[in-house]
Amino acid sequence: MKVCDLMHKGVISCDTEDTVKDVAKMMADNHFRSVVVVNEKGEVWGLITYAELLAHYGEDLTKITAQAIMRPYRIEVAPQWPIEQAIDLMQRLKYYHLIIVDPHVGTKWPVGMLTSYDVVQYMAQLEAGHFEQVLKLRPLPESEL
Amino acid sequence: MSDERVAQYLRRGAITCSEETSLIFVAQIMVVNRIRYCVVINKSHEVLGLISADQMINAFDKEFSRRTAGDIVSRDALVTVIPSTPLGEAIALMAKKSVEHIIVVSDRPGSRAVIGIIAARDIIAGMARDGRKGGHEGLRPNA
Repeated sequence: MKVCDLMHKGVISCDTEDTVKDVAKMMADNHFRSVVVVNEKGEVWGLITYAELLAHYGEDLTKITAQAIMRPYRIEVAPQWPIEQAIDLMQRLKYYHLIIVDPHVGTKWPVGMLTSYDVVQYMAQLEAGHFEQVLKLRPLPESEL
Repeated sequence: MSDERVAQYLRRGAITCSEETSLIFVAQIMVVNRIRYCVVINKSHEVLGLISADQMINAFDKEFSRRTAGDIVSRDALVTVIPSTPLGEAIALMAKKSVEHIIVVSDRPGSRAVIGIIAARDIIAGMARDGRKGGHEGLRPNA
């Protein structure tokens, strides 16, 4: 199993000058847990997750820029990595959102995101057809549908 | 700071598993229910703690398939809030423990029953909706 099999394809990104209010809206509307901050060249610059936003609870979010609260991001994970290597990186750095950059597309150009939840899907050892698989674990005696 | 309380963002009900549940089954519970946490309870329905997706990552090694929820749930780090806890306090707890979910328990004396979960996601949605105003003000249609 490789990183590209489990990752979310595509990321939600914002500009360094976007307000934090917009970032919060992006997350809520798209049900994403992280927003990638990109610079003017479209390269990965930083990452904003729930933790960074919660630190500014109660403040005027329209006056803070994404650049001010983002966590600078320096790690490069390629889509061709085996998943074990990515898990090992998460465990060592305690960093549960990995931005995937494709070296063929261009340096630091985000192509996807791997979060702890995506890895949990791998741990669950379910192939395609999740529900069917789970139901197979404990079949009811009379169930002959 | 606004005067919001945990109750305003409370998600009633929590997905639970027992301490003997295998970690693979916990992962399946998360995937099937599309949640990122699982509350661990013992046979007498006492709360032992909460397993998050991040903790699942930390527990992933060669022994993973043989371990159970009871092995990795951090008993000493059990954090709970009650519905009347100020939201700011709950957020500070989330930051301190670097978690995204906190168990909300009943505030009746002598009862530690789980009534739900407060999730970072719901708080962010509230922040996106009404900025610095309190959630209740934002929700009132003509206020």
